[in-house]
Amino acid sequence: MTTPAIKTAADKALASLIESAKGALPGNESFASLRSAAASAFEENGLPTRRVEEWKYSDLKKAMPADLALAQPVDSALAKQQLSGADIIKAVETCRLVLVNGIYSAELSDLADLGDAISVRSVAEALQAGEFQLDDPAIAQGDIALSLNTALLQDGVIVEIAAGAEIDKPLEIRHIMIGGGMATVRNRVVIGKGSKVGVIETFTGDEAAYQLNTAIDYRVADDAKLNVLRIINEGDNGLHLGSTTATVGGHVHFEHFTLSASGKFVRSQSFVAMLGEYSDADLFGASLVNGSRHSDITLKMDHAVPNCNSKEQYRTVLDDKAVGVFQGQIIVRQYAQKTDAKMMSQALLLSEDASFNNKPELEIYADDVVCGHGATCGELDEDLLFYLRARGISKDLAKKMLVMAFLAEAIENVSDDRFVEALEAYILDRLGLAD
Amino acid sequence: MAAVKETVDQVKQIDVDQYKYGFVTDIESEKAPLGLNEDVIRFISAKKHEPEWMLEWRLDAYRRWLTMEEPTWAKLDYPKPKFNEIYYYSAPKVAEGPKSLDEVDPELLKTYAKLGIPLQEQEILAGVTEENRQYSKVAVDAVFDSVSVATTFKEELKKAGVIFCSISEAIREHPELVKKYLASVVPVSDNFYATLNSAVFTDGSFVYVPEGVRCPMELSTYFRINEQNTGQFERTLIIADKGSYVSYLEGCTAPQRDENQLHAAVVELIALEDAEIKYSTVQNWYPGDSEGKGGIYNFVTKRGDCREKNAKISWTQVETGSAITWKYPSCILRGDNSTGEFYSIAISNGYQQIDSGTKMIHLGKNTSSRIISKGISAGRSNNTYRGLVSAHKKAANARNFTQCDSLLIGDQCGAHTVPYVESKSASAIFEHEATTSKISDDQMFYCQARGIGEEEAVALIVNGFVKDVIQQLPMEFAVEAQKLINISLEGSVG
Repeated sequence: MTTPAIKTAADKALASLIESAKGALPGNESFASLRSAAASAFEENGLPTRRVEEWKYSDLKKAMPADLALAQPVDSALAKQQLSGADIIKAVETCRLVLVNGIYSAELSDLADLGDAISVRSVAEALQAGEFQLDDPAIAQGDIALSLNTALLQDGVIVEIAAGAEIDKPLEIRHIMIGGGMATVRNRVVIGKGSKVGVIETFTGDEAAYQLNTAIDYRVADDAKLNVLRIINEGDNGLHLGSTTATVGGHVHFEHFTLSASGKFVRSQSFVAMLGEYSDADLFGASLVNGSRHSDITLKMDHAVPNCNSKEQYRTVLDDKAVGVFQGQIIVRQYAQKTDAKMMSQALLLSEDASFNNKPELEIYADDVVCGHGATCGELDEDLLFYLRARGISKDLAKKMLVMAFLAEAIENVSDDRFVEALEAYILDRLGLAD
Repeated sequence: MAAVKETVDQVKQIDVDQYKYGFVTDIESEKAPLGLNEDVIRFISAKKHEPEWMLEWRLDAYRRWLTMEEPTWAKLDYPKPKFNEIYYYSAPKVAEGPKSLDEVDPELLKTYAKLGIPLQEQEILAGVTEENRQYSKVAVDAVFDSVSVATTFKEELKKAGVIFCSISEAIREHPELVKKYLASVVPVSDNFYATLNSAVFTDGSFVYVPEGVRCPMELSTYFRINEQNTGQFERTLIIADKGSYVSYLEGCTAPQRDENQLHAAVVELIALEDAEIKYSTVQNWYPGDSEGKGGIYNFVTKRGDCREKNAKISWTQVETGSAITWKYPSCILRGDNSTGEFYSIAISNGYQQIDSGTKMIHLGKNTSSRIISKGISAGRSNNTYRGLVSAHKKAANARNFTQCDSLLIGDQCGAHTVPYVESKSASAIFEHEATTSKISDDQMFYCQARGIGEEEAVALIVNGFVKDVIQQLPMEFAVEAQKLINISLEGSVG
């Protein structure tokens, strides 16, 4: 706490939280040493300022409050009550794993239809038994959010899907924050060879000020097919630091959609490492940002082997005084010949006070590749608005219709129809267009 | 088209693997003591017969520089220059300022002849009649090491009211203009290298085009770094007053050296109401040998300010040389309806590293900008485009179109694109696209099936790839640039 990097009240609060929580957090000795390494890394660097390139547009130092405490355990009656309100994907029936304030609750989870092909275990338990190894892909190493996650890790779920399994009902991992405070979660989903599965991650919270540092690690074995839908629907005072790491094997189809819909400060980052040949990774996203919210989508796509395709497409709508960020990086390593990677980020600014920062990056070391990125930002097309209004549609409704149409272009990429339905329902509801 | 032929011939003389410009001219030079301290700055200032205010300005910059750190954010990897092992001033010994070319040291003229840049460009470009000459002449403010030794065409420019002289002369003769505009675009403490330049700049060009004047000829400076261990710190200041137009050409070669030579230039452009400045560069400094040894370090700050409404600034660059390039010619679009343009070809081969791009900063209403960047990497080089497009809150209806394409030749090189697009104005429309690819087998097959050799085919395809930018170059440069591209890529296939 004496290092020069620990400057602001938030830095100090976080440093002392790390120090005081040490004894209470799960894990055997070897994990404790990982924790203390992460803690010293924090002591050395503090929270990232805008001078740290990866955090240039998202000032975490400023966003992190100065009064920090771990979120308190919640009584199960209250949790149950909140749980019914947290159902944001009514359109899809799921098997559900529930984490309340960062702690896995088997009681609240609904695993009736889980079947034999899926096994679930709590991270805290695995840590205690020394059976949880951290093994982030190279591109995620040194990440500040993940390092903080290691320092304060409380719990999470480890889901293993057997080889060859075809899971009909998507698996939902639902995160709920109640009563404020800080929670740190790390989940792992291991997808067996040749299996097919859909995963939905949802994040909700109440009005209290809270900070959720959540990470999920997907290990996708050869020939598997994985569809992920991630809906960030945090409370108005919620701070969300979300990291996705994925290591993708050969002949895999990996699809990932992020909807950033609410939360005071949201940073959703993905690190995808393509490690097997002939795989496809499609990363899509839509962000709806209003008020004085801050929403940051950051992703790194690492092509380490030849013959893989990746596609990234993100749409952001900004209103009021909202700030939007997109940082996307495609890395194509020297041996990753025949890579086809495309990235597109488009933003729509509805208000004079909104702003958007776009940083699509290409880092290419192989020559026989086709890579490209595009980025646009602008306002609603007056001609389109006129067209609708000339047909007697009110200005407000016409705007909403155009916003929906703009986001729909990202959503229509999603291959699972149930996910498309869930997303459309959510956004229509949010825009007030649901009947 | 004598000029074209001349250029073609010159370029033909360049061998495949050898950098023929790598020779040292034996002219006695006068040096400041090695290293940098306040006394060296006083020495430079005294040598330049500068007024007291200029010395103070330099010393202030030097003191600020001492507190600054070298930037490390660029994708460049190089041993840091040792700033205390550089001579900051070196002037060829010339008798009292020559009034015409006849008085210039014949050794120097020979050097230029070897470079293929005869000072008597007027004779090459004159064509037949006197009337035509007015449009085709190129005025050369030759920079040999750090001092302007010869300025041609002065008389004619004088008639038009254009001031074209060395910056040292401008400091003495036109202090009011220099005081008003120097460092008004690139502040003294803008960045590490700009601050260093402010402290020690030894020469460069100064152009002032008065209100309503269309500069009667293309202005041109040929740079040449000579004299071992001499950093080259140029300072160029171009002011286009209301309704005026000027086109400025900059081209450079340097002798072969084993040691890294540091170059940290600052170029400032100011365009007032309705004025237009076109700035073109062909840069072909020594890139180092086949193992990446030696070569020029090029850290340049170039920035233009469209200060009043309807102003236009256009940068065009062809970068083929230097071991390290760190260069971001930028436009501040302050005046309403002003326009900024950036056209760039950056070619890296061998062990060259380029981190270059532009910044378009939209501040005024209805401002527009256009960025076309073509990067070609071959050998073991790394080529990065780094650009910023930003719209201020008040930049209503700002428009930007950016296209950056990269071409990779060989699997040992890298091409990177790092654009920053920041919009705080809802009515701003920004479009950015980037692609990276290699020369397709189909294209090669098509050419080779028609009897075109492999290297020629690559050159042909590359020239097609960069056509959009070449077209922006003034005629005098276009042919030279095209040949230069072919030469830069020689040895990159097969």
